[in-house]
Amino acid sequence: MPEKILALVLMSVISASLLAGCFDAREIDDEVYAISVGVDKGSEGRLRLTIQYPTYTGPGGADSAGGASGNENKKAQSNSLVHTIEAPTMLEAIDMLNTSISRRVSLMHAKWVIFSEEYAREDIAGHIAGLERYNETRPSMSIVVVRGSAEEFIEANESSIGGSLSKSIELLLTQSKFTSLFPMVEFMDFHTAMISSYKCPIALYGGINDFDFENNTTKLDGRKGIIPGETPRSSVSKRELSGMAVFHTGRMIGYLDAYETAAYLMIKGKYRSGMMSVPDKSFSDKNIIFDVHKSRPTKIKAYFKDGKPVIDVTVGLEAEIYAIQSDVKYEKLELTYELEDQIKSFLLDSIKHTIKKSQKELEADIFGFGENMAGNFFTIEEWEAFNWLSQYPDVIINPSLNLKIRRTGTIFQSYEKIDRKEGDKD
Amino acid sequence: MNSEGKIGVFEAISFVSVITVNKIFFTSVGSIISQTGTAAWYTTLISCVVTVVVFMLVYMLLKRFPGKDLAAIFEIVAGRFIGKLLILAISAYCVFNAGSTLREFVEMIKVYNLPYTPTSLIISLFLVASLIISRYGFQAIARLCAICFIPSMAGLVFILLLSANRFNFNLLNPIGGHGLEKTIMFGLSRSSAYNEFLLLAFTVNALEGHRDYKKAALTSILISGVVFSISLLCYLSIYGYTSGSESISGVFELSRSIYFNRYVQRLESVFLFIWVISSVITTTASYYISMLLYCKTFRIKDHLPILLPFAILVYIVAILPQSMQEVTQKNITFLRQYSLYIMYLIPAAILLLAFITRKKGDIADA
Repeated sequence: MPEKILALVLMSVISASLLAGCFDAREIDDEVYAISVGVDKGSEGRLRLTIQYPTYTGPGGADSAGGASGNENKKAQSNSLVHTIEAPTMLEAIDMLNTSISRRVSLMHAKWVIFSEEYAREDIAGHIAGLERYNETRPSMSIVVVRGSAEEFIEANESSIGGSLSKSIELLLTQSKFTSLFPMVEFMDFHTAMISSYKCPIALYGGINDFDFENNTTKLDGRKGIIPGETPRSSVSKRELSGMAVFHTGRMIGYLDAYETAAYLMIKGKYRSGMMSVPDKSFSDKNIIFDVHKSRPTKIKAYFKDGKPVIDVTVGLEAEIYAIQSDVKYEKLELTYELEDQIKSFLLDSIKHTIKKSQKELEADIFGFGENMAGNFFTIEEWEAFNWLSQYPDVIINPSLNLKIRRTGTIFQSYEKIDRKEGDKD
Repeated sequence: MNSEGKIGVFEAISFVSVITVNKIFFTSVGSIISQTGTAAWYTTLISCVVTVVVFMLVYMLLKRFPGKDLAAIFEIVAGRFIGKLLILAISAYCVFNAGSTLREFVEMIKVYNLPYTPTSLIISLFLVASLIISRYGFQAIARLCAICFIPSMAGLVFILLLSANRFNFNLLNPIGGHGLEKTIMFGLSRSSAYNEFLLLAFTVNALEGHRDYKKAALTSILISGVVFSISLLCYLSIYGYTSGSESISGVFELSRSIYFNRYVQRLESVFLFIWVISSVITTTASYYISMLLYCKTFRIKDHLPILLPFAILVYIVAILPQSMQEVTQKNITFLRQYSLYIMYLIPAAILLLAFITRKKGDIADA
């Protein structure tokens, strides 16, 4: 019996000391968790890497968790630190940062990797492949391309609501669900598309917004989609996401603006919801405001006709009237049908425009129609020999839209407004 | 006495299923997709069907010799000398299987979780666990499998279900993969991946007769086939054939990619649990069967004295490969694609020899 007890104690001691992972032990407090990683073009062929990590300091500035000391930071945000370094590669740059930061930089909680547009237009495939191989990066982090510098974008990235920067980034990224003006793109989606024979990769498109209402010279076209940095707004937060960047393998070749991105999401069947102002047919200066959302998954039929690849796309949406600025009673059934046709034609034009842009301007299958077209081939060899991505610009794509106005907000019939002029006469 | 004890059908099913399905957590997913592309999910079903055919042959052999396990039948049919040689060959294969599986696991856990822990330490700790479990014999291993079987399967199903929002079955196009010929040929050779039902044939007396063996082996082959096929189908429908062939552990990557919201993410810890448990069991099963066969060959009644020597043998096999590439491209490729020449051809040849020599067991032994 004593031998058994001794064996049990010995086993417990050995297990406790060995199984706790003494070689790979890392205290949470021994690391800093980069939540933003930015890549710009550096000097002499190097890249400039910027990282941002939270400092875990309390609201009063108290170093509650023993965060990095103030003299270590290059640029201090309200609740985070930003460091920039130049190095030949991303991972080496992170390693080099460890020579000046007292805690090891970890990418395990990175929320997004941000590339400057200048750098993305050259080729980022090597960096993406490197990150894919690196065990600390999460498949769920986002890939962003920013107009201007990634470093500036990260410097402008601060949490204006609440103290948690990582929560702020996560919530900003999920805004895509409610606005549909930019897509949700995760690292694994980007990497998968980058080496795919079916489609081209896309990334979020962002930028710094320094819009000045006083000195604004930009002409705002009501239906022209917005690109990052050009949204006519003034707010605490300078960074914004709008639209998407389009790639050929690892090289950015163009972008879709916010409205084109909404159309892209509709075609993909990933459009969740979004407000849309459609000009009233009866009054050109008035709008009808809809909340448009997905009703059913997009149906895609891919086939060959006379030897040419053809894609039939049927998008399913439904709309809810939120505001009618004119006096027209669109709630009446016959007028509702008319309005449906109007909004349908408006959205279909947008869809057609986006498809055309992807074919003629970008020459990139961002929709992944190739996945459906591949169903017409039996083997991978036949499919790859067909070379879908180079065929894509000449493919015949027939989009159609099923749209129903289902509801009219909280008002089911508007009351006839009193004509003030007639009243005055009385 | 080196008795295997008695186990039930469920324990037997769990034993074979756990150690067969364990491969889905390793490099098998990537390598089968790189070889067969989009056809991977049904290639494994071809392997499963081939295995069922081989199983029927093994079952015919067992039925011919009632009350005898496969090792005893080898000796009866092929003679004591050749029979013992064949049993020793399979024992050596089991040592190789245990060591290679262990090293594959160690390399993967080093990539993802323990990069700085010495390989030798992880191997040693693993073997200590295997040694302790094996000390209590086959019955203990089978019971451990029965306990872990449902949680392991539930964990796998949990990971696949949580990944369901990413499924895009269009990624299974083109449906033919790299062509029917390549798919069938690879499916045939890959049937080696299902050979664990044979381990049970060496301990068939632990079951209540050959009918129980038939039930257990057949059910576990089918369970393994369905699990492999569904897992590959789900994985392919997320990553496609290009990206899908890259990952060192497809299912682990799948668990890492789960992101529902800020609260439901980073679920790989669930995966780690089932991964470690099933890897311990797989290594232990192979390690134990290798000892058992050695004992049967030399009529050794107690396996306890050879626990340590065999653990050292497994350690040597595990430590020999110099890199991850060597493990996957040599050891694992041999195990998954070429081991059928040992594990399937030997019993088939013995059956043929039994027919030719008209050797049969005694009904009284049943």
